Amino acid sequence: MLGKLLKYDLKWTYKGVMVFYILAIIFSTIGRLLSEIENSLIFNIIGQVCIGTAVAMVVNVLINNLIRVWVRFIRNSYKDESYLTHTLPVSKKTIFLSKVLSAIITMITSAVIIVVCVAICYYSQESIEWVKQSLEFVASTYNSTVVGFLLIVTVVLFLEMIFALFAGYIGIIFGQKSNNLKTGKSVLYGFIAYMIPQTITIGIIFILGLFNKDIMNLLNTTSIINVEAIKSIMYAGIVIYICYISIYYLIGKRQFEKGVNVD
Amino acid sequence: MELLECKNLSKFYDKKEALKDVNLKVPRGKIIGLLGKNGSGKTTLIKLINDLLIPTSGEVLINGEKPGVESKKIISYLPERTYLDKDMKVNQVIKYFEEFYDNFNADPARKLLKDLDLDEEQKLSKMSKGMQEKVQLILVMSRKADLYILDEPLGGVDPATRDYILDTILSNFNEGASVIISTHLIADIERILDEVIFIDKGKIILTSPADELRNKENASIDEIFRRCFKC
Amino acid sequence: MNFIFDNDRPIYIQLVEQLKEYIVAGKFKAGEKLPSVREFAMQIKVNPNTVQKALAEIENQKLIYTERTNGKFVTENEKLIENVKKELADQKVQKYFQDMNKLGINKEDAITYLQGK
Repeated sequence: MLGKLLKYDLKWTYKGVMVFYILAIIFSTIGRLLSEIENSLIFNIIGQVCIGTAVAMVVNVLINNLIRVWVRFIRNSYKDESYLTHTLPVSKKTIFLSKVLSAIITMITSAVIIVVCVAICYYSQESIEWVKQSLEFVASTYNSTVVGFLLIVTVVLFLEMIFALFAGYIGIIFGQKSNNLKTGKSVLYGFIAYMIPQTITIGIIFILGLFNKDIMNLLNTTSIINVEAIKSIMYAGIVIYICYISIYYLIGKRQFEKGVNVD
Repeated sequence: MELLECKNLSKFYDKKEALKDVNLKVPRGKIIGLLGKNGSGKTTLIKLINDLLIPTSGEVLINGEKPGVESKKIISYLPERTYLDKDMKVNQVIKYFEEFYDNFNADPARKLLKDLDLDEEQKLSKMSKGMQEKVQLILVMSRKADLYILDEPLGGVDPATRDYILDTILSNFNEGASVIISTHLIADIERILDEVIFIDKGKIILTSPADELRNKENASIDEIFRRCFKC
Repeated sequence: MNFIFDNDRPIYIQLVEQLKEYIVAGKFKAGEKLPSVREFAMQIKVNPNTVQKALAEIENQKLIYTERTNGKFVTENEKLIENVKKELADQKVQKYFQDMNKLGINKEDAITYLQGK
C-alpha cells in the first residue's frame, strides 16, 4: 500500500514543480548560450537577465516544493479529500510515511535540479579553478577535498530544509487538532516548532563553546572565523539535525496515528 | 458478533455536545434509516464510525474491532461532500479505487457511468456538483462491502435523480450487507427501510423496525417523525 | 406489475394484499414462476427483506410454493385460488355493507341500490 500511496503523492507534487524545473533549465541554458556569444553586448545583457531569471526559478523550485508538500498533506489529511484518505484500507502510519518520503524524494530531485542549473550557468574551466582556489584553504584544514567540503555544506543545508519540512508537519498536525483557527494555529505551531530547536541548537553550540575555545571565539567575535570551529559545528549540525528530524518524525507519526478530527 | 456497535459513544467540540452517550447495534442484512434534522448529530456519528473523528468517550466497534484498516476494507462510505481529487479524470478515479479496494468492481462501475452518458476522459473539475455526486455514489456502490454508509445521498436533488439514486442503491448493494442511510427527507426513502433510528440533539431517541412502528402508530414514518419533533 | 403503497401501513401487509389480488385475478398465472426476491424488490422499489416477509406470508397460505433450487412459483391448485378469490370477494362485500350501514342504508336497500347502478 505504501508504494501505491507514494506513487500518487509523488505524481501530485512533481506535477506542480515540474514546470519550474523545466523553466529553470531552459532559462539557464538560454542564458549560458547567449553569454557565450562574443562581442555582443545586447545578447550578453539578455543572457544575464536569463541567468537572473533562472536563479529566481531555482529559489522558486525549493520554496514551491516545500509549500506544495505541506498543502498536499493538509488537503489529503484534513480537508474534503481526507474523507477518502482516511477511509482507504491503509494505516495512518503508512499515510504519514508516504507523505514524508514523497516530500524528501521530491526535495532531493529539486536539489539535483538546482545543482544542474548552477552548472549550466557557470560551469567552465576558469570558474572551477576559481572555486577550487577559494575553497582550497578551507578544504585543506578539513583534511578533505574540495568536493568533500562542498558535500558536507550541502548535506547540512539539505538537512536544514528537511528539518523545516518536519517543523511544518508538526505545526499542521497540532494546529489541525484544535477546534477553531486551524490554519492560523498550524502556522504558529510550525513557526514555534522551527524556532525552539534552532534556539536549542545555539544553546548547544554555546555549551560546546564552554569546552572548546575556538567555538566560543566564533560566538564572541565577528572578525576572525576559525575554520576548525566551523568544521566542528558542521559535524555537530549534521548530528543535531538528524536527531531533531527523527524526533519530529516520531512525534508526528504518534500524534497522527492517534486519529484526526476533520471538519 | 454485531456488524457495528456503538458503546456510550460521545463527541464534544469544546463544550458543545455533538453526540451524547449513544448506544447502538447494527445487525447484518438490514437497510437502516438514520433520521434526524440538520445538525442533529447524524454526520458526527457517521464520521466517528469512519475514523474521521476521535471519540471524546465511548467506543465504536466494527466486527468487534475499533475503526482501522480492517473496518475500512468492509465499509463503503459516501460522505455528504465531494471528496475526490478534482484534477483526476473519471477513469483515473476508477483505477484509484481498483488499486486501493480489493472489493471494488470496475466493470459494473463503468457500466453505470456509461448509462449516465459520462465520458471517462472527463476531469471531475469539469463536471457539475450533481454529476460528481453521482460518480461518487457509483464508486461507493460498486464495492462488495459488508456495510454501506450513505450520508444524505438524497440531499437537494430533483425527483428523477432521487429515483436514480434509490435504484442504484437497491440494485447494487452486496447481498447480506447492511446499509445505513442518513437523511432528513424521509418520505422519499421510507419504504426501502427495514429499521429506523431517530436522532435529535446528539441523542438516539428511538430505534424500531419500520413496519412495526407504522403498525403501532398507524401512520407513515415521515408522519411519526414530524410528530416526534414538533413537541 | 404495478404496486402502489401507502406509507401509513406496514408495507409488507400491503404487498401481501396486492400480491393475492394479482394471483386471484390471474395476473400471476397458476404455476407461473415469480421473480427472485431481489429482482422483485428492485422492480417495486421496496426493501428485499419486506418482499421476503410478504412472500413467506403468502407461502404460509399455500398460494405459492418454493422449489428448492428453482425459486418460487404460484400454486397450481386452482381450487385454492378460487377459494381465496371468494374469500377476498366476501371481504369486499362485507366492507360495502358496512360502509352503506354507516350511511344509514340497510342491507336490502344497499342491494337494491347496487342493482340500480
